[in-house]
Parts: sequence; structure tokens; C-alpha cells
Amino acid sequence: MIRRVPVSASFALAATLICKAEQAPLQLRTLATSSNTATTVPAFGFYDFAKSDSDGNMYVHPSEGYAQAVLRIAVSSSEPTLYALPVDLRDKFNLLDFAVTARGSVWVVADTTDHARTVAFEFDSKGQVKNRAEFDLPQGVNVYSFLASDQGTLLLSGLYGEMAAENLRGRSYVALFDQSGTLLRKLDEPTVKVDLGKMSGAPQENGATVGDDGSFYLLDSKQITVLNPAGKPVRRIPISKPAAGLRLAGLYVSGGLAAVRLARLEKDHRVSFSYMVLNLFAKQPPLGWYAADPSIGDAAVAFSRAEGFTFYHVEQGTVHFIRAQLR
Amino acid sequence: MARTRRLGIVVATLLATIFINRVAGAYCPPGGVNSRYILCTCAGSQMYLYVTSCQGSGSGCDPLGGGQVYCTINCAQWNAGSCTASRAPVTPDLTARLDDDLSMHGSSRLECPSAQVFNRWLSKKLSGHPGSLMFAGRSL
Repeated sequence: MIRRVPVSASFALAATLICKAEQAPLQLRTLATSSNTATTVPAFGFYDFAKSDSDGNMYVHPSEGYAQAVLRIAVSSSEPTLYALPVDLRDKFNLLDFAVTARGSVWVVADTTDHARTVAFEFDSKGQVKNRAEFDLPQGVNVYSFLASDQGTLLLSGLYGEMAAENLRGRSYVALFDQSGTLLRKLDEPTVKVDLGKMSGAPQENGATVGDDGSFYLLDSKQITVLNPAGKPVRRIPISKPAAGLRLAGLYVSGGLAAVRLARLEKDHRVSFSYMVLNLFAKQPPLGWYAADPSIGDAAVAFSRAEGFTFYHVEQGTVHFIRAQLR
Repeated sequence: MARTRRLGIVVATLLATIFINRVAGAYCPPGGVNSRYILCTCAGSQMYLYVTSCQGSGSGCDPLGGGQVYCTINCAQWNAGSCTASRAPVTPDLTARLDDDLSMHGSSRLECPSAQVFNRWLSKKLSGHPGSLMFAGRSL
């Protein structure tokens, strides 16, 4: 007996097959070097990931030298600028994170050593503190990300931890403040709910960055949430990892593209990184999944639509910035 | 045969538990696991590591000052019910423990010649900067 399949069902099947064909697994592609800029800076280590301003200068929280400071390396001259708390404050605060605006304003956010207060400090171009913002955070919030915009706003995001009220534990906390620390807006809807009991010792999946227009981009384990400069969610972009065993570890945004940092935890606490590039304004599969040439390393310090990735690379004892354009 | 295999698993689990407790040093109370990525460089090579530390204090803990307790292994594997990952404040305790961890990879920050070169370079470049140059919480 021949069973007739309705035409609409045939179309549905065809559409499904086309969709599945379009969602073929992404292949990891190796980026080719497009330029290699040598600096006179001796090789050094740093915590987490470097940040950059619109001129491509690199900002890091160094693990050498000052442990409680942000170091700026001018990409054109290799000259360092240090943004450190005054000596009388250094023993009273522990640095949590730092933020750099597109124009190069530097902020650090720090907890008092007794964890009672969270304070952000803004620095002038010579590395001196010129402003401070005191945050009145809810009990038990663990800060993960800190962003500052050239529009004069600060964004803190994190999770309610074990010390928070039971009904809040594992929920995300996102709030926008002005430069004095006054709360402007708290995101009512949590971007993610985490089961604290199931959180392993693996890194929490998160990331955040700010666009040139003052929009904020927050990454969690499932999506990128875009907040307008006033802190209102305006768009959510779902994320699918290109392979098993990867963790979302951060993101860059440039010219309508997002580059999501993917971490793979190896043995002995080693981590390797690759990068997935997405179009933020089109509902389409990711544009590509990339890794640097193994000889370069995997430490991206910047991303732009026009110039691709910039990698921190040590060559003969000094720092080189390797550019690798998207293909 | 099956009984022997089961016994083997039980013994292995017990040994693993003892080993984990010895390595980790202490029970990690509620309060959290701190985590950090760190880029290490030495002798022309570079690599990223992921390190964790338990945060808290209490019975059985091994406080290293400031309520920080370090676990050289994945803390949550042994204390999954009460660990919360969070961003680790960089304290002298954490950096000292990082050194221990990094030395396993032949990349000690303190002993690495390239770190010393960088510190001398930075110190010279920042000679006009107020305050003494601090290395992991210690004066150089």
C-alpha cells in the first residue's frame, strides 16, 4: 500500500533537512597570521584576560610586579602605565576585576578584605585615583564581571552565592550604577539560574563587554543578553557550543559581531582556548570557530571586525602582538 | 569475580577519598570556591592555567589567613554540596599558592628568569610611580 504524504508534511520534512544541513557541526579553523608587531616589553603573566581600548592598547591585571593593579601597555610605544591603589588603601582592598572604556578610562572594582564593602575606583591617565563608587550590593552577591562605559555608567554582574537568602542562591545579579555607585537599574529577570550544588570546580561560564555605544553584552551558559545603555534588556542571542567539553569563558563585540571565548580544561589545570564568531543581528549559524596557530598560543587580547583577533605571543623573551584576520 | 571487582572499586574509592583529603588538606565549609585563569610565561613559552581555591573557615579547615583555604584539586569533586565558584580576590595567600601550583608545571613566577626580567623592566619604567613595587604582596 502506498501511503500518501501530505504536501505540507513534505515541505516540513524538506525544511527540517535543510535546517539540519545548515546546522552541520562547525569545523575548527586555524587562523593565519596577518601581522606580527614586536614590542620591547619582557614576557610577563597576567590574571584572566587582557582588555583593550579603541586604540588597541592592552590592559591586564599582572601576576608579576604589582599584584593589585592594572597595567596598560601602549601598543605603539611599549610604554607601561600603572593603575594602582594608593599605598594606604592597598592592604584594605582585594582587586576583583577591572574595566576599560573604549576611550581608555580605567576602573577597578575591589572588595574590602573583610568582604563587607565593594568599591570601584576610577583612575586618571597618569594612574592616579580620581573617583570612587561605593556599591550597596545585596547580601551574598559574588561579583563576576565589571564594566564601565564612556556614557558614565557602571555595570556589575554576578551570582547570589551561599551567603545569600536561600530563595536567591544561584540566581544572577545584574545592576547598573552611576559613577558614584548609585543604583540606576537592577535587572529583575535573572539571565541564568545556576544550581550551586552542581557547580563543579570548573570555571563559571560568563563574560561581559561593553560596546562603543554604551550597550552591554552579558554572556552566560546559554546566551548573550544585550542591554541598552540604560540597562534594559533588548535582545537575547542563544549560544550553541560547537563541540562537547567546551565552556564559555568570555566575549568580545565589534561591528555587529561577537567573538565568544571557548575554554577546554585540560589535565593539570591547563586550559586551551578557541573562539566562535557570531553575527549579533542576524539569526544565522555562527560564522566560524577559530583557533590561533599553535605556534602563536591562544591568548587573544582583542578582537575587531576589521582586523580580526590580536594574540599575546612571547617570542625570544619579549611580547609580540600577532594579528590574525577572519577568513 | 564480580565480588572481587566490587571490592576493588570500594577500596579504590576509599583510597581516593583519603588521597583527596590529604591533598586538599581540609574540609571546605560553605563559603565558596574561588577561581582564576592565569597566563603563565617562562623561558619563551606561555600557557593558560585554571586554579581554584576554597574560601571559608571553620572546623577542620586550614586557614591561610583571610579565610582563604586552597585546594590543589577540584574542590567541588569532594565537596559538591557547599562550594560556590566565584572570582578570587588576589591575596598574598592566593598568589603564594599559585606559585606552588605553577611549580608543578615548571613555570614558577618567582624562579622564572623572564619574570625577573619583567619585574626589573617594570620597576625601572615606573621609578617615578608613588609607592614601592609590590610583587605578590611583598616588597621587591
